Amino acid sequence: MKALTPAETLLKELGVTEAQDIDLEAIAWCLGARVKYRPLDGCEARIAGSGDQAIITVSSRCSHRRRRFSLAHELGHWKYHRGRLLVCRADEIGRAGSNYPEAERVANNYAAQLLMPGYLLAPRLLAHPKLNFQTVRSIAEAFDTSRTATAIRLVEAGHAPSLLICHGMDGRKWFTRSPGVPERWFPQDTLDPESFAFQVLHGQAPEDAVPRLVGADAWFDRSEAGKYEVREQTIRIGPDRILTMVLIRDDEMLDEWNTSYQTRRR
Amino acid sequence: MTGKPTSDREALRRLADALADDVLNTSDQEVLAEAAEEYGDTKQLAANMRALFERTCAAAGKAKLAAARAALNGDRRRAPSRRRLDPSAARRLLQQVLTAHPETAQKLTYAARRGEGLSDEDVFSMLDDLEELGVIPCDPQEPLS
Repeated sequence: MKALTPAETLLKELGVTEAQDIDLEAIAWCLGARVKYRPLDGCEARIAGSGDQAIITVSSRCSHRRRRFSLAHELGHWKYHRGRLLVCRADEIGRAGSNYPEAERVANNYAAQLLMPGYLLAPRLLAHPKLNFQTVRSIAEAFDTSRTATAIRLVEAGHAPSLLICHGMDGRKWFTRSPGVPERWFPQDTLDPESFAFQVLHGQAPEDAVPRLVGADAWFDRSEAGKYEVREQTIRIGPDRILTMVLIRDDEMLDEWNTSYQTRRR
Repeated sequence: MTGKPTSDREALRRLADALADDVLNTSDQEVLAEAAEEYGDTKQLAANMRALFERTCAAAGKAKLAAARAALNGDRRRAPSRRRLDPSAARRLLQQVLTAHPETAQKLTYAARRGEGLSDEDVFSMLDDLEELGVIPCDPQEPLS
């Protein structure tokens, strides 16, 4: 049995047995934190703490699900960075990748576990064996979470070997990969015109209804990529921003190789 | 100690202690044998007891969460406070607070530490929060702690 994370332990202690029981404001109250919603200009959320009391302020300008993630993110700060005044920008909350502050990554991971605890997520995923944005949408509905946060959670939970990549008009914003995907599969900085995602971002192509087969070299700038095919599915998450799921089905792509790529390491 | 119970409650406490001592002084094998004689499958008994324990904990947790929801619903009825300062004075006060509490401001972004990127409304509401938390006094004449 997998050990519970601190966020999951808290939910268990509070008797949370269904996704709809995750009342973040009440959870915050139990932890000594009061929640306010008001227009914020310089940040998306912040927490001011003193002793065992805190006030969390979340921007009222964001969508309901975005506000939920921001609140869960600030509760992550309350768990791990207590007693500080933290101001969190929109680009630090609810993203993946590693090139942003460690404290924000810790808070994002905590938020993901608090909103979509493994012990409630796993049974639901049994009904969705395939990873795609249809699954993401269904899980997001159940847990009242955004598609982006849900997609990150499912990819990082290793539901299927995959990468999740966010692009803007000026290139890749961030990406994450599931645990079983070797690090040599590093997505290109800019979208390849051969990818379906390119047309969604730069053209007028609609979102992909289902994952579509494409050469892996449309996503990875490696010579061996020419041998493989992957499936990709893209959705729009903002006016100039897309989210693409790249699904790996070929077992050879999942083999670990050493840095010279000549010796296989199993 | 005379050994004579001083009240019914004291008598019950001693009885409970004696029963607990009796259980603690019994070997694991004897306890298992007694339980098997009384209840049959001891593994099933343990599973049932564990499930009962988990249900009880969950019920207590749900009650705590429901009480928190009720408390915060009540709390929302309070009128919000608002600091009446001119914006530049508010920014100076925020700077003073952050200087007086460097550990509090430790993780503020550089821009936010200097008050940049924060609107006047952001500064006012941040001061409100700090006042509510007791980091700054309600009385503007009172010095910062």
